[in-house]
Amino acid sequence: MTSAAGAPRASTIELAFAGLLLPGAVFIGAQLTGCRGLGLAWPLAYPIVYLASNALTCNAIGHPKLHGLLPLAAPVMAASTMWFCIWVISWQLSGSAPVGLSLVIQIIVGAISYLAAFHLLAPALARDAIADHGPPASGTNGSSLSMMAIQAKFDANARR
Amino acid sequence: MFGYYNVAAQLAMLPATKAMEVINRVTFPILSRVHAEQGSLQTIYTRLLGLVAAYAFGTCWGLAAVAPELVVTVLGDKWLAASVPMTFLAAVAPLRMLSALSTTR
Repeated sequence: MTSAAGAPRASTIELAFAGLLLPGAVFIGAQLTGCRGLGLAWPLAYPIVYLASNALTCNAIGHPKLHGLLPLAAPVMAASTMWFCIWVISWQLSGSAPVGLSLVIQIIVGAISYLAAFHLLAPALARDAIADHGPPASGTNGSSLSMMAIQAKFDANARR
Repeated sequence: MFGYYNVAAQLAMLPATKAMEVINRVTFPILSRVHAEQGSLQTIYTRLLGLVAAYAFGTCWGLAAVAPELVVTVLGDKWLAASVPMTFLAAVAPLRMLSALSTTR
């Protein structure tokens, strides 16, 4: 995005920041609690990198800094609902069902709860996302229908 | 320790890796063109963020939530220790995908 916006310096700053912060966090995590700390370092350090990345990108395209976080609200809330539902099912089934069966039930419940919550929270975005992941239309390579729709709209505006 | 971490990292990033390839391949030419022809990068960026987040949070947090059962079913009991770092890594994978969108080149 930043390179396409003609601001490759923002990408470089972002990568340099991530390159400095993440190895340090991972090293400290590994020293403190081994494998668990190695994994935990990521969710502790990466949101900082993401906030910096988002701020730099928004700055490069002339967007207010926090606007880049708004589109994430609905997916985050829907995914949190899904996680909670899966946790409840896992807790209910632990010990009483074989692990494989429990996994299948969790996947089904997770998918249904995510789709339902997402449709309720952001119906327009849900329709867009479903169109994007649907079967390819004839004459397309199926890579991204939404992006093709954006491009077609842009082409039409350019011709006008 | 690194064996568990390596397996966890590979599994956690599985949904993100393929999607990132496609996103990077598709978005850069369109974004460059939009920018060159004075289109609204802001609108497209916001829409792209929403679409990528819809896919990323659904798949990656789903993976994080089922990590222990998935590891035991796919790899067996002896790899159960990999499920803890896998949960953490899968939880952060959506941000890595969204960040990759920002640095698309």
